[in-house]
Amino acid sequence: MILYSIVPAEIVFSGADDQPQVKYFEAEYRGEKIIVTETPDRQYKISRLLSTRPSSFLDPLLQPGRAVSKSDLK
Amino acid sequence: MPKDEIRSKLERLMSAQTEQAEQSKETDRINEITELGRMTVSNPRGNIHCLTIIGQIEGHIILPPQNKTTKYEHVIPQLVAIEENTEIEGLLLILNTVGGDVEAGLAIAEMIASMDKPKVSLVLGGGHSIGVPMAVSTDYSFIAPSATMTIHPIRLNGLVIGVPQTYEYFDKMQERVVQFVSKNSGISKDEFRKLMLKTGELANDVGTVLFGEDAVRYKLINEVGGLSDAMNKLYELIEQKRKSKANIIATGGELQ
Repeated sequence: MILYSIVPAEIVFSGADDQPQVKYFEAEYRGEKIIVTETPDRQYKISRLLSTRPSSFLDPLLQPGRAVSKSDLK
Repeated sequence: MPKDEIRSKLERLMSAQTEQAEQSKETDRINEITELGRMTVSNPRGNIHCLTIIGQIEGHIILPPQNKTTKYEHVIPQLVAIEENTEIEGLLLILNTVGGDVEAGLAIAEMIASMDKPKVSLVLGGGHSIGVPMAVSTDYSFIAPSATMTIHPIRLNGLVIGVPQTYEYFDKMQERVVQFVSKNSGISKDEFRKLMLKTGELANDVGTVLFGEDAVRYKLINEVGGLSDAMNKLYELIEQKRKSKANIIATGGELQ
């Protein structure tokens, strides 16, 4: 990967090794496959949307960073 | 219980429900803005979509959380959706970025450049490094007077082997940026390269910092302006597009 940025790479990548352990898993949510992030305090957030339907990427309910509850996941 | 009382109670309950629904809609909208900096604006002059490119452009490696990032794997399908959605007529690209992954930045820039819908960009604060090709990828670009653009060579990071091939490789990588920028703006390849390698401008690097007006003088950006200028230009382009579409339909009718 080539970083082309005015921010030095040391600053961009600082703290990359001591991050809190988050788990990623795949689930189905509102008819689409998503990758969910699970934080240590059991919060669930959409990390990525895995879909080939372009319109889903504009759906406000499927945006990365949105919190989801475990019961809605399949 | 008298009928009137029941009715008034029911009405109150229903109005509370609609209020609640409206409130949750509002929070959804706000969430969308805070999480993604993205929203749709619609009015009779045209239905536009606003995409903000902020912080680092995140590429193939997830950056540590202290970085604010724009994730290319989400932006690219969004651009596809914007292009194919019949209701969206134009794209406003707002940039305030410090640069990032070359491949991801160029991918987004190429996607925007090859879109058929009218698009206008506005650089606020900074459009540095890989932000430069993204800023010039639209039909028309604006820069705020106080905004800056830093143009510098691609730096080496990670393990570097001191052989001539390393230099050649980086020269090639740099050439992709130079080519894209010169193709999509008024600046020539030589001039852009000169700005990249200029000395005496940056404290610890070669390169140039361009202020709003300088960027326009070098023909990198079309015009100095703000939000209203960018919006007006976008609506103007949308109007042109609508007219040319109407013309095609009209002439097509004559042929038959």
